Amino acid sequence: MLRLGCTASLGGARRSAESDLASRRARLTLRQRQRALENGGAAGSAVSDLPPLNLADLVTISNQANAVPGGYLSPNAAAFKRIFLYHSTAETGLEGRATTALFFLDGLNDLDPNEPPKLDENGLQIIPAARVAIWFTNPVCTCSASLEQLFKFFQGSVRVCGNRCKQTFLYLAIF
Amino acid sequence: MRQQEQRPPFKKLARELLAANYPWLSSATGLEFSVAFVKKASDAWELAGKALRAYSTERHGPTMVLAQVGMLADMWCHFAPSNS
Repeated sequence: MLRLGCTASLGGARRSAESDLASRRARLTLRQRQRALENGGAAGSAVSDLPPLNLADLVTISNQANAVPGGYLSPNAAAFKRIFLYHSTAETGLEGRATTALFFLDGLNDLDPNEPPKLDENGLQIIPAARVAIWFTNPVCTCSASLEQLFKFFQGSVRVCGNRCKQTFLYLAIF
Repeated sequence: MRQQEQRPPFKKLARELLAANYPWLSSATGLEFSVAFVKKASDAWELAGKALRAYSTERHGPTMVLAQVGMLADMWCHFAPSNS
């Protein structure tokens, strides 16, 4: 991911490991560095490279696609997808009840803010297709009780009617 | 996990909601909902993780995830696909 040009912040553990490695390498003489390079990747070497980054090593990821015209992340070169993850849990009175939902929005690659919106035969704006997967965590299975919460989110509001809820919103852009 | 026999009418509700709040948008014909009931929150997270992984493998080429999240990164990294 980093090779493609995006930037990321390292998590605390990885940052510490990188710092320690740099410190160890700084103590080496030139000859020791050459020897370490020749033996590169030798298991157990205190100065060998760390394993490749995993997603769990990163805290935030950003890219400069919007700031650099013609960047590699343009709609011509990449397919932009959006995924919303919704999760809420009831804090009072309804122990264990929660709602988890994933909204997969497709067709956003064609959207260009400079272009007029696509219209159907009735002159209404066509919305992107979407798939929604919803899981109700509900030991007592009062099925309709969570609908208000979910649709408050769907309406773009963060206010929740009824029970107080802890809400978590994720925005995942996958391309 | 058990599938509920009488599923909430999400598609109908979405259509009504769009018509009431966003009358300039076409009806929600492209919306597909699937609903399931689980007994534990961990089951829901696990299924959400599986759905994300399945979605990432539907497409070819490298995948990058940009996340805007209201909780600590190490929490959602547990279920976000890490092999992309």
